[in-house]
Amino acid sequence: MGVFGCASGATVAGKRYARRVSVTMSIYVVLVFGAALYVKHFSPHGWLLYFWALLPAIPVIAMIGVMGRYLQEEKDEYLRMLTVRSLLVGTTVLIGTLVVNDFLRSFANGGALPPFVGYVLFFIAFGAAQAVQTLRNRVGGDD
Amino acid sequence: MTNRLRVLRAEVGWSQADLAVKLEVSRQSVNAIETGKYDPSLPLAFKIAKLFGKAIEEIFEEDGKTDSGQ
Repeated sequence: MGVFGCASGATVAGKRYARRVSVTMSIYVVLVFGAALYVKHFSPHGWLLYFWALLPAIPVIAMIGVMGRYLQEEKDEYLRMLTVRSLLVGTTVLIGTLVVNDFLRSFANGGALPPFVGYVLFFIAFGAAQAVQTLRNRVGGDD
Repeated sequence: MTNRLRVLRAEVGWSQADLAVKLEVSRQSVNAIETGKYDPSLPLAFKIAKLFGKAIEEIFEEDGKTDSGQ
């Protein structure tokens, strides 16, 4: 199970989710490298620069839509609950990191976080929570 | 909430996987309900009760409930 894995790839919704994640992340990789190469070689300005700068953000935002779609399609309420719990862990880590950093910047002259820390932390926390829950819910031999 | 799901399942000779197929849920879900890690929603509880031909309260019981119902 990868960082973006849902609690079970065994259900129909879980398989669809895995497929959508693969497609979305493939698009992300293409856009990240494409944008980096384009900006480096063609040095665009104005709206074109903004366009290429924002392009790789689209699949990352789309990932939230992919998760939402999974929650909508998953018929197994227990697996749905596990995924919601993991999303809550990811959100807590993300909001917690941002708010702590913002208060440090506001009151203690703290520095800004490096770019991309927020969403990377969110997905790592989400993936870790999914992994922990998968391990905790392992089912042994059937009787 | 406690439940008698494991006992009822054993009585009819179904495995967790068999029950999961009949309920259209994952085996993880059946296991989580049996071990008390997860309390099913009312629709799923009704589905379980219907499958075993029993009332919900014959399968699921509130924690600490006594026979006198107090």
